[in-house]
Amino acid sequence: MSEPILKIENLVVHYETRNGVAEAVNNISFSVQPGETLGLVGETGAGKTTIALTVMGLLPKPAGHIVQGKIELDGEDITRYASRSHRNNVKEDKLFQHIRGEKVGMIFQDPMSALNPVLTVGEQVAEVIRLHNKVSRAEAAKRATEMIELVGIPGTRFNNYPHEFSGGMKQRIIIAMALACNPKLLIADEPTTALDVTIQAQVLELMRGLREKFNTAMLMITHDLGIVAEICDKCAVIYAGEIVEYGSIEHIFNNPKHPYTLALFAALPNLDEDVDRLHSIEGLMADPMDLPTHCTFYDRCHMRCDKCKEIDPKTVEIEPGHLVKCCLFTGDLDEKEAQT
Amino acid sequence: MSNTLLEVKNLKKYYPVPSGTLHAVDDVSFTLNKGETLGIVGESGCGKSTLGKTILRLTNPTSGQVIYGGQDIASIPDREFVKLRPELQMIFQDPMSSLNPRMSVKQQIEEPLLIYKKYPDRAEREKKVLELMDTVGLARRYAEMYPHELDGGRRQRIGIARGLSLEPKLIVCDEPVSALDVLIQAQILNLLMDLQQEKGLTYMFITHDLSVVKHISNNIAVMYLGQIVEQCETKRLFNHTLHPYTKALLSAIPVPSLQKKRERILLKGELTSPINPKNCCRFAPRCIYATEQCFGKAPELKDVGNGHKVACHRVAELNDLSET
Repeated sequence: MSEPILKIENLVVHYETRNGVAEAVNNISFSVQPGETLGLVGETGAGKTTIALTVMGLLPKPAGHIVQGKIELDGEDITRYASRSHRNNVKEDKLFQHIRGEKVGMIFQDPMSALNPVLTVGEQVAEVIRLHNKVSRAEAAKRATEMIELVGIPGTRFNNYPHEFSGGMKQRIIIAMALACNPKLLIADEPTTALDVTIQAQVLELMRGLREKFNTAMLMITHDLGIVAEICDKCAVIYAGEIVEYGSIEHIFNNPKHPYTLALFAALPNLDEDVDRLHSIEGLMADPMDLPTHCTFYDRCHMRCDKCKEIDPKTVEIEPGHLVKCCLFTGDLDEKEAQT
Repeated sequence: MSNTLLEVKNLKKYYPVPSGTLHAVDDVSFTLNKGETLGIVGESGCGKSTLGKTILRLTNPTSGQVIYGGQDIASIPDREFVKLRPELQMIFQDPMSSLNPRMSVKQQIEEPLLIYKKYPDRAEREKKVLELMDTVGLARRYAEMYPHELDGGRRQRIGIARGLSLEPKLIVCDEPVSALDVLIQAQILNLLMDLQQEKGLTYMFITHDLSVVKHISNNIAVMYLGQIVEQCETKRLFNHTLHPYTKALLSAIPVPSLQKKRERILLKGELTSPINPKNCCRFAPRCIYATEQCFGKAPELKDVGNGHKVACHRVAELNDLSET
């Protein structure tokens, strides 16, 4: 196995707010191999975006900070840059900017707010190139034009402003910016949520093509299991800041085990089958300000038992590469209990 | 007595813009039966929300008729229409921006009752508000809370309670679940379907999500640039898709399964401009089957059998219609 591009170990991220501490990410570990796409799936507030922001060192300050854990990017420990104690240290910030810009690209959810409205799109793509490579303006502009054409926008639109583009085209520009320095890792935070399905299909197709072309590893954050099935190799299901199930997409889609994953699948309206009622689970996600000490999914779980209220289940590997965090699989229950 | 609750005839809504006339809704006709759900599907900018608003007279139509209860509600005077308003309600997409941030949950739900002077007795009105909260599954302890203290699913429930408060007959749901997570979306869809059965409501359900609309609707109308391009019963639309746009729309949905893969029809380009459209098939610039005829003349919405209506010149060539 080659060195992973991104390796996160036991990451814990908290937001300290006036009303208390929100435990946004709780002890998450995963790694992304070169050329691999990992999907992070979960509901709003599950902590998906926080993970992405932590890797990018973009946690909102001063509230967000890394409590423990280690982030390795391409073999280099970047935890110290991302954590709070090193904030506002100009020298370190510059250093981190350099590493980040060269190795990671990020695509944000809302293309309308991620672009600068007073710069032409060409300038914005060229800016990325000039910041990270010692090239002349003309050379940067040339490369930027190439990037813009690569994502399917005519190079003649180099001097247009963001408002002259539609949502799908803006997202293409963002993709061009993210890939301009040929990063090893691309973090996509709900890249198609703001787009229509037909445009979403175009953008996903583009991302798939570029991923193969550049052999970029990808961290795909989404709430749509359909997108995961389409573009990811592996998938982590996140609930209340924890990975509750992790595995290859074959594991997750053909053999889902965690009650939460099962609930997610059951709640989807299906295009191929007819059902009268959607299976929904009652209640809401555990409040990150007030997480229980036992299993966080207990309140909504339809397979729960008394044991679940006592212990916080360990993550177990039920088959090679397929991890589940649930009492049902830890062996803490005897057979009889598990069946009831 | 016919079963028709609402009939829309040649409804048009044009907006004047600096560069011409924007055809937001262009010659749309359909009927809606009592107790049924009509799904309106389309991409953003196709005029589906404008259609909903025009029918409820939140904006006045340019021309056309909306026949409800035997009269054309598009042309009656405002003071006449106000009497009908309780029967025609709307649930909005974004509960955060459709609720008043300075009113508590109770006040929000109470407001329509106050305006229409239902339950003049205060105690009785409060009882009604609490009953409405029970109906939509909002715990009574939230009565004194404000919208920002609640999550998206609960906010949407307030919107539904408001919509129900005057005992409407028709509710236009404008993307009521698109801002919600799947689990919450399932809760709200189930709630809407339960309410329909219980109270015999009629819905016009506007959404961009075909899988949601399939789940909740009896009939579906697919819109493209202000016009209906295909309309029929839900099952038929999915089993015998006829219009190239509907086919592309269906194939674009990512399927959450590894086995069932759809053949993808990738559409080129994006929605063309609805400003001063030419007299041609509006989908033609993106259509893989487009011929000269498609660019020369606009197709009509024609019934090709069993109430299946399609607006496409080449529908007979491209599909085996005898199957349908």
